Amino acid sequence: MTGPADRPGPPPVFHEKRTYRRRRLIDAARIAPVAVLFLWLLPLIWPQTEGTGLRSATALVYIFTVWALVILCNLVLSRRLGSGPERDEDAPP
Amino acid sequence: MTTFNILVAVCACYVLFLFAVAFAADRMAMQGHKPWLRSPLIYTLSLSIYCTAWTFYGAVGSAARTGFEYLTIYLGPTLVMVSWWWLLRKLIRIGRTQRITSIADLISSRYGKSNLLAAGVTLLAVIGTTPYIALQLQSVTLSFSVFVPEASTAPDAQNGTLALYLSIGLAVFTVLFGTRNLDAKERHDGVVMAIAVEAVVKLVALMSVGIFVVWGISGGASEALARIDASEFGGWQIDRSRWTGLIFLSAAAFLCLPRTFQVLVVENSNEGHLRTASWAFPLYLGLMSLFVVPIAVAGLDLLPEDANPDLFVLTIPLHFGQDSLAMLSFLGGFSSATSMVIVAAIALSTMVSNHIVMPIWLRLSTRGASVSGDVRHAVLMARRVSIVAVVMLGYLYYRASSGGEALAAIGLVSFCGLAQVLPAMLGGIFWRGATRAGAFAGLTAGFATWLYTLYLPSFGAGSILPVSVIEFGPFGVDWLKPDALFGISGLDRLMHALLWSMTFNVAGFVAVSLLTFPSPLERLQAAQFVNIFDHSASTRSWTGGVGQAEDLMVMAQRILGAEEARALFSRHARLQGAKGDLPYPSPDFLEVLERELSSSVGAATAHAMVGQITGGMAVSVEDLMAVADETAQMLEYSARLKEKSEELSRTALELRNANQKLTRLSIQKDAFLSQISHELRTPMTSIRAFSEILRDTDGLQSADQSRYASIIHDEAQRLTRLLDDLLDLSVVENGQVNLNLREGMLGDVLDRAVASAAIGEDGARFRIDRVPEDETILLHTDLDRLAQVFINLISNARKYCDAPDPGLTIRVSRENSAVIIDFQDNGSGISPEAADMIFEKFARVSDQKAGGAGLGLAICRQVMARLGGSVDLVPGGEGATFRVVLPGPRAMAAQ
Amino acid sequence: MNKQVLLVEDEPNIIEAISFILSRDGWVVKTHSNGADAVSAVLDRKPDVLILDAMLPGKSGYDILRELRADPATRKLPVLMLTARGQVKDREIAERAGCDAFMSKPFSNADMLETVRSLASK
Repeated sequence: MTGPADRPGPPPVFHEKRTYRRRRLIDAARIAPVAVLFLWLLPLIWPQTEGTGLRSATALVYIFTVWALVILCNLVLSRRLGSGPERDEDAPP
Repeated sequence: MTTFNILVAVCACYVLFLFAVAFAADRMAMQGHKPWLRSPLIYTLSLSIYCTAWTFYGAVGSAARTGFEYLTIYLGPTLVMVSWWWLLRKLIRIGRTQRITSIADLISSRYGKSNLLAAGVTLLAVIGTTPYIALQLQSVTLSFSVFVPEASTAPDAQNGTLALYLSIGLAVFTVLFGTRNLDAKERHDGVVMAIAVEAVVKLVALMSVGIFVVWGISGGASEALARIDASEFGGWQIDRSRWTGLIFLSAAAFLCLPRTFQVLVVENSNEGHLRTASWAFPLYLGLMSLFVVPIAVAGLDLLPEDANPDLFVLTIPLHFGQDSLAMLSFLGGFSSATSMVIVAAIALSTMVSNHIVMPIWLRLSTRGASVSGDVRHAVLMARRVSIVAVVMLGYLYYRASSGGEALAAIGLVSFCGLAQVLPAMLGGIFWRGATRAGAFAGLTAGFATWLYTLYLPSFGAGSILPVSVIEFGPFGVDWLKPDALFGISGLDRLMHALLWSMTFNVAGFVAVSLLTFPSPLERLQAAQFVNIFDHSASTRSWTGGVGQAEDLMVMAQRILGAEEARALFSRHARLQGAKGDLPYPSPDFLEVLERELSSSVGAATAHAMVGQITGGMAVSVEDLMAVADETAQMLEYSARLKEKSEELSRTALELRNANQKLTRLSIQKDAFLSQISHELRTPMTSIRAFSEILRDTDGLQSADQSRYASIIHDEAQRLTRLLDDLLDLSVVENGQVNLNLREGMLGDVLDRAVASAAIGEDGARFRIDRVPEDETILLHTDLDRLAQVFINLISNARKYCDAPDPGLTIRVSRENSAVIIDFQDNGSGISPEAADMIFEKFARVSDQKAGGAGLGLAICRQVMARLGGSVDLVPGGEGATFRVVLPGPRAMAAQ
Repeated sequence: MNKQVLLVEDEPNIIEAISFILSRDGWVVKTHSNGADAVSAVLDRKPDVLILDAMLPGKSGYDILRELRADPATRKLPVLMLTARGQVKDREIAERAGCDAFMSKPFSNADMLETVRSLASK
């Protein structure tokens, strides 16, 4: 992101607090899918041996808990991000 | 017991209800009630088109057979929704700004508007979707058989007829509401509203059954969980490869299925709706999947061994005598099936008509696309025919496969086929280096692999692919066996196909993209798609990255020529101290480049082109290419010629006008001379005639003698006055008159004028009304000239006023700083025709011998103009009113 | 019986001068000072010679002359045209309109008398 000196207005190193918050929220929105994918791929490493393994009901509760978290996270993110300007400041050039 | 006929009646009523909803929504949309129709809630509900009858019935069946695997089908789309910020937002923005009408259109548009690519994706979509439509028909007939057991034993023909009626009904609905108009953005308010209603029916139906099972049968949530643990899939068991693969597959399908793309991108009316959908749709999916396992467990526990788990949602309520609940559930499944068929038919028909039928029609039609109305009609017709064809194709597929077990597996096979579009799509919106050839290679490789390893074998060994090929590979080549490529066996067939088709797809896409060079249009579209947020956002000054320098280079080469462009770019790269030949697109450089380009294509075009590439302004790519192409310079040249010829004709017009003016002046001059001649000769005639009479006539009486002498005298005086006036006029007109500016009271000037003009030759005094108080205004002007004007006006009034008791009123008033003096007589006034010309020279209002030459008012007007004021006839009113306006003291002083 | 002249002219002093000249020669002079109804005045009075001014209020002398020439009753009526605009162009217009003689103002009294006499004897 560093261009020659004649580039107009190089991005400032420090942002004011609200802009900083918003950027971190955008970071969160980007990372969220990875985190959720990780949580839902966790069942892959659960023990599967008959009898000693995890109980189905527990697994079901786990998956739906993650689901509820997803809904909650997106609810918060969409509310917070929606109130800001429409433009994506961090969009790659 | 519900009979077949009641069931049919319920279905018919439900479909009629949908018709009504769609019709009402379309009507509302036409009346402008868009906000309500276009709410985020409707958008979210319409996304539920992803959940078809296959998921409505099949999820429970799948859970009963393979445990938790069914969840993956919902987890994938949820993951996609979680990626809304960086993926869906971009996709929707692209769809909106590029006016995308289908997924085939998206791919085609991104890769340089390639119709071949679009046709390929369309073909893939048709092949992938047709079995899916068949599946919906099957699920409806199956659910019928649950209610009417004799239907299951009935001959195939009866099920076939049912499916046929259903197909026809759906086709009619789709044609009616899907092809009402050729909206540029292909939005269908009525259909979307119907889909949203069906989404609610689906959810309510499934949840009602679930709640009945958990609280009605099992006796509470914890008991239900305990029952799950106690059941045969109490232990956590998943096929790890399928768990991973299916999450990926369903996520890909959610993005690539024509019907989901239709509602997600094409029917989206507001990007803001995505924010709501980002949490509301995962909620919907979560609720849809919440009760699947309890229902499956209950079904396995309580129903007979041979019960079809796919139909537990129906059979459990029926088993417990809950007929109305079963009917609700049936409607849920029916909703799922119908909404899928409707939207799939719309999406497919758009693709088929836009990318297959229309190109062929335009090529065959010799007239081309010149008649717009014709094309419009043809497009609508093509779309309607395509809808019917797509639905009927599904029906035929259903009949051909005779509703067998093979159909049940087709859902995921379809998913896998359509997922082949994913690499080209994601690559297209995130990677500028992706090329058309790459996309084509990837799609072809993936599609072929999918056909060979999954689609064709899914019909069963020996039906299309010979048994020998499946068991020993083609021509006995062992490592080419459809279910064990490269000798890797033991994988689940779906996962095997997914793995290899995606591998070949991505590899072909990336490799060929790296090796080939895109056309300028492709490069432009790539920039548009990948940098969509820069392009469609608010304007900024020229900024950009090095990637744009390449695009600028390509553009510059086309216009300036390769050598010159390269020289220009490397010169500026050196100036900037940049490495390589490409300068950084700094504002300075962009300005230089724009100037260079503008010498070839004109400033506005150059600005538009640079703006297009650097993202400063939005100009459509077609516009840009039209000028960037080699023909642009020709166009520009002819435009300049046109400009020149316009300039010439402008000059010619000016000359013509000037000539007309001269002619007019010349005519005026002739008329003036002729008029003067007349005015001079008339008194001279009398003078000569009477002087000859006096000279030649003998014995003339002395009374006659003196009378004739006085006529000669009067006429000589008239002649003198005329000459005085003429000289006066010419002096005033030429501006040679020297104004004798003095200070004086208006009242005094009027006194002088009245004194010299109010008494006629007959000695009768003319009555003049004045208001002396108003006249105490100090003037700074040429008082003698002003008096001359007043005298003229007063004597005119005296001469021409035709009232029995003639009189004149002089009123003085002030407006702002100007002084206004009105001279109003009590006569009959001046006719409108005469009013136009009284200020002209030699104009006389009446024909009697007024004694003047008709120059008085003309002189007055000239004098007033010299004094900075004016004299006019006030239109209307009683009698004739002349208004003299003098500028205010300050303005007069400046004269 | 004395011959009759109709004079159509709007300038009173000129009317008086011409009337004086012709009456003294024995002509009966009738006058009319308006162009608008000059044609009907001619038809009423049936003069032997018509003296017509070119510029008249209401209707120009040329127009009056054209109308008279279109009427069979007055087609042969001898007409002397007078005009105060002594341009060549005016003479051409008058002749084209069909006048028998043309004089520009001011005129000599003798010429006027001579012209009227010669017109009457035609």
